[in-house]
Amino acid sequence: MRKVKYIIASILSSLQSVTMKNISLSLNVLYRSTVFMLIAIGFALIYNSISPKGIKLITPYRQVVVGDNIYKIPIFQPRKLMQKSFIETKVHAPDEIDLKSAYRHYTEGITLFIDTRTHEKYRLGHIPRAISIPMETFDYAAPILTNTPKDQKIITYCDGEVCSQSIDMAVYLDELGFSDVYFFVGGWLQWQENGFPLTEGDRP
Amino acid sequence: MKKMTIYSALAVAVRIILGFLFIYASLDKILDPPKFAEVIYNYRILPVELINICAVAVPWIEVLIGVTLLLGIWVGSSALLLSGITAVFIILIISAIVRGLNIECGCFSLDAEGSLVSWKRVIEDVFILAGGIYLLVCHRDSET
Repeated sequence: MRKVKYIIASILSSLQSVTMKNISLSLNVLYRSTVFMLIAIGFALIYNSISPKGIKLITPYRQVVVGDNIYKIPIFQPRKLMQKSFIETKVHAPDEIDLKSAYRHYTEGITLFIDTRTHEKYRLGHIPRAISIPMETFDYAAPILTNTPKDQKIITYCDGEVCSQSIDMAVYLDELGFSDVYFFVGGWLQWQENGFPLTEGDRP
Repeated sequence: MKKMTIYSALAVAVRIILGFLFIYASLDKILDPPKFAEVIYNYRILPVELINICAVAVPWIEVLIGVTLLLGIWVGSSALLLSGITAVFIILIISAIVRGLNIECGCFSLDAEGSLVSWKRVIEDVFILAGGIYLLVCHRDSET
């Protein structure tokens, strides 16, 4: 915390020295900054409208209601790949589960854990028996999913509370007709911090 | 014609280095807006709806700052925007570190692993901010 305070103080003092030392920014500079911003935004909008990777200006998102919580899950895809606007689509919600129940399901050994992080992260460490399906390359027709019975209990996870891939995946699975899907909110970080079993490498 | 002093030579050097830096920093973001939007989302600061518009606009502000610095046009205004935008980046990175977010910085490139938020990134940005303020002081009244 001290470090933070120190850095903030030094930034503030350097900013102050600019304004205090009898330096007044000429109006010309301020005026041109505004024009400058408008030009940049103009370029940005034009480029965005012609680029094949252009995105919708207002972020589309899915709204997922879990108990009392409402999650807004943004969809980051080029405009052209989005067949329909997902804005405000309410999806039947898979439930979230905590560390304790995730561990209980793990020890029972019946539940299928899905690691939604990248392959690299999976390789460095994951929950034993969890399979790797990175959200980035999610494929609705993946054999592992088509071969899994629809009533299989599934728990998805990603890095931890700040990631959303586990919720995304749970929502997709729910849409595919899986009826017993949960996401583990604490994710890999919480699992690791509590010293629960882990394994490394490409295999579950 | 004024004689070129060591100070003005320094200002030219700072201008060109920052110019290249900002153009370099904007390239990945312009080429892959969805990826950059996701990086912004991970900071968990902006409302979801506003993420895309920022992901579209910010790289172009950076590129224009870079180009004007390199060409020496509107340097004062460019330096003002550079300082402002860098100050915002510094605050965002510090807030991510303080909240314990282990996320991609999105500072220069959008490669996943090598560029996570860290104090090193903050220090880099403080140097950039110092350069911006220096240019602003040098060019505060200038017509060019």
